[in-house]
Amino acid sequence: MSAHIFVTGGGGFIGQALLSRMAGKPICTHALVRRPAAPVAGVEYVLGDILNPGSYEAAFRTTDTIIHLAAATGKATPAQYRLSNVEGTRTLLKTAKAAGVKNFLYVSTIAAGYSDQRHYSYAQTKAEAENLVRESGLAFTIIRPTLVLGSASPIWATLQRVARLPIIPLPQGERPVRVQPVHADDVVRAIEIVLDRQHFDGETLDVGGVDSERFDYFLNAVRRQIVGKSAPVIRAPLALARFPLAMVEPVARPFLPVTAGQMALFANDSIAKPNWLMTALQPSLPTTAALLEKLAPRASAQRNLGASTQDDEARLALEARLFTRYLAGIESTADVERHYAAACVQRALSNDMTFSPFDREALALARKGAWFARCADAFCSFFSRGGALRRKLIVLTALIESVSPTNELYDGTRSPGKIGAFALLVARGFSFATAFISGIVMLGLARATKSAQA
Amino acid sequence: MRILVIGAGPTGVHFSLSALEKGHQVTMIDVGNARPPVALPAANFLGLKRDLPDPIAYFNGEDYTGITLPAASPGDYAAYYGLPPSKDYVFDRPSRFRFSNDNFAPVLSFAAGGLAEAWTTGSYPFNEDELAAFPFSYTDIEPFYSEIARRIGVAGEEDDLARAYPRHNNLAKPTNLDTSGRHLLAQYERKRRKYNGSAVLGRSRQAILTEARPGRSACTYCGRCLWGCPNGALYTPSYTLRECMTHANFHYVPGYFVSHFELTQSGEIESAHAYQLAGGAAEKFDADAYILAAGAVSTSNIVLRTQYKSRGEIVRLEGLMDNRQVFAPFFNLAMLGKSYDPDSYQYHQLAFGLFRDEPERYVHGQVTTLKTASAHPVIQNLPVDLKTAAQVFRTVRSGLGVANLNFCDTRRVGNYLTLFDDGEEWPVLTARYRSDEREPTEMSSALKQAGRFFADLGAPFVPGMTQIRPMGSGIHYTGTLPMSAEKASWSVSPSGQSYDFPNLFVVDGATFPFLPAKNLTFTLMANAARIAAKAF
Repeated sequence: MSAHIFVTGGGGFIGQALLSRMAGKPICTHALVRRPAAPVAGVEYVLGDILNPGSYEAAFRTTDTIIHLAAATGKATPAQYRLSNVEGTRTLLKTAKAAGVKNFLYVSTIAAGYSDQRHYSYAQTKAEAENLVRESGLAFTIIRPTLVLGSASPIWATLQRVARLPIIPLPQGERPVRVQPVHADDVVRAIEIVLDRQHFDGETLDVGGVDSERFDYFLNAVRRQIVGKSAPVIRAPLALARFPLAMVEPVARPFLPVTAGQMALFANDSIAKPNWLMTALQPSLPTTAALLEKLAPRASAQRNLGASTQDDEARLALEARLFTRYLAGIESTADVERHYAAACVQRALSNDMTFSPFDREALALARKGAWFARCADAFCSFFSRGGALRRKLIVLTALIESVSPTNELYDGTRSPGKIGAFALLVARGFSFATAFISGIVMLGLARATKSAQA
Repeated sequence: MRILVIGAGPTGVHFSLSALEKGHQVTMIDVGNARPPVALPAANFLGLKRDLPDPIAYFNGEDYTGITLPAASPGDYAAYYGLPPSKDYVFDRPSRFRFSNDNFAPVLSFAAGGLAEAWTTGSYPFNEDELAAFPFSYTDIEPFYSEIARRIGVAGEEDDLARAYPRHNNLAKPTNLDTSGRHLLAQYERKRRKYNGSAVLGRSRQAILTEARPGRSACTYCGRCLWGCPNGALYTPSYTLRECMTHANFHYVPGYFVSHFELTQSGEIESAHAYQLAGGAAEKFDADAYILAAGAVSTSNIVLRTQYKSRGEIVRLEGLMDNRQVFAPFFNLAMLGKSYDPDSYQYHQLAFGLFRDEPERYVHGQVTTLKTASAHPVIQNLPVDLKTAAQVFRTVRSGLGVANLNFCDTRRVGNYLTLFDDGEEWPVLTARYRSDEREPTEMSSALKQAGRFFADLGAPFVPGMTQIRPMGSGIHYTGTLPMSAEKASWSVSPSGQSYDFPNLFVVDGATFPFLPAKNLTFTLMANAARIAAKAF
């Protein structure tokens, strides 16, 4: 690896990930930042701006390799993009050449290669900057990361916002586009590989994640990760979204959720073409599922940690007795009570403090007696199917259906005949309706009153 | 010839039996989780609940994993019936086996007998259309279907489904049909012309004995199929393993996890490296020919690790396949008010087929009654309180069933098994799977057709309860080392011989170049016997 490197954009999210990887390595690293940053071992910060060579040219005297990450992104104006991305790169290259720097690693973007860059100043200016690098006379490598995700990356924040919507809107051009998201840490690994191998042969190398996905599939994968389920995707013609945005952008840019230029993401595939760098990265690239898990660990894993430390066997045995009376109309046996207490502990259902306020309310009502348990259950069968009360009752159902004589409730083999069966079903319907309405009165109204008071 | 077989699943045991009968010396290494003793062999299903010392532990597991609760995440779902705790031994994994997945969560087995220790016995031959991508024809494999049917005992009937199930010998008489099945079939007989051959119902093919054999009883209709057949009527490969053990030239070595092969300089396999489960350093096993029969996932793992260890390379084995399954619960209206009979055969007694314009994309269905499955996974889905749900369930239980639809799969780039270097001693086996983009349309059309068909038979699907099962739950993993007449890397010859390692043969599902909708185990066994006959 190069002994002296100079990083621009050290304060950005890829820059920070890169610098923290550099910590402790036998490399002398200078990092250009516009405002003071938290110290990192082995990194010397240079306060300045790429457009002002005087602020950093002294550091170039010992620099072998420049890693150019700094760029204008997001909702910058076309003029700001040009200034930072084109003029900034031009200034940096000129200064580097004058100082005798050997190698230049430019971290560009997959968008620089988009065939449709309409209204997208970011992509246009990055492509121009790439050309400046190619014409600079320095030994260079350009890498073009695809969709770079990291917990602090703006695109990840946007993706999460979109994925949380009940219906996912997706502008679409002629066909669905594909993306190949990559974690910032893997972009950093790609940079390390180029440095390690001193590979500055004038190549432009795409860097992406392990596989490409259709964008709508990926959005739903994000949604499943953070919300727990998929959502329907509504496709809108891309032109309908892009043109009006471009019209209002000059005046309304700061208030828009997305710019016309950024809509290019929906018009172009953002996937990495195979190259030697991708081959080198491949074995350690996380799967899409692992990538999302790294960005947003699933809440369900944490939920399961609710095992009680205050198990109260006697209380659970009483509960088993009452609930068996409700479900089967008879008293429970000591075996059922013992198993119920153990199963509640095993399935994280033994400690009321881990339940939601509503779950506690429903349980409190159910514990008043068999009829109350039925009313609470009837209410929850519509409004809280996965809640603590239902879960406890399902555990008990599993236990009592496994053992004689309570299994009769489920395994009874008597035949009521067609008319008898029909009459029974009608009668069950009526008794359920009564319990359900009572449940609404006792739980639903109490819930509504509380939220009104709140 | 000295042959080393890795894996004691359906392919391993049937390959071995054929090789033993030809006089070869066969050593079989296997993790070999063994089946625990059968509880109360003479009891029927209700007898277990009455007479077992602790029936709650038997039906729900010592740690209550047999209890199905509503899914923790709203996007997940709770299965209507799962695998019972009495079959946990089938799915226990050795600690040396590590796996991560991306949209593909397979069920794997390291049991003596493999996954088919917990199968539902569906034994269907592939027809010419389904074999079109295979490098052999039905005529080539038919004798082996007949031979396997003789070995394991396949019950069934030549009826309307014969159009989808080509003929083979040794088909035994079918099991006694339960009342619900009789009603459905009678209704179909009355209306069959109406369907014009696009949807067909008939008797399923089951690896179940309807006449006793030495060491195995005929089905006694005790209702314990799901919980573990107590008398050997329901075939599992451990019976063939026992038969192999009666041969003096067979050596069974359980308790070993095979890690990889060591190669010679010329690229042949020199030995298999295996670790004893109890611990210790790797031990070497050598032979003249090496047979991978560990199931597509474990077989691929061994191949990937071999390449990684010998050549430092991580490759992708593309083309991973599995059948997409859809469960559609139905209610047979003719059974309303009729009594429920737990003393009957529990898995599918009827099968159905939906014929498509492209014949190989035939949709295969089985009608599962599962009257003795646990009730709680079903009743928790009814939108009423659990007491009402139990009462309704008991009233309608005799007519409940599940139409289980299976869809074919093709090999596609992007669906693969590979290794992922996560910094541990060995990289972790990783699977990735994405569905075919045609799938939603095909599935929706087939479900509509099946829904109309069942409604017409007087057994409408229960609204809102149809489940599309996640990929990996089909348990038919195939395609990562496909058979091909043309020499290519990471594929095998029509006789299973690896094009990468000349003394390696793959005889399991990894070699399938296409996955028809029908249950594959019967073909797996026939193909393994075919390779033993052709290549050894």
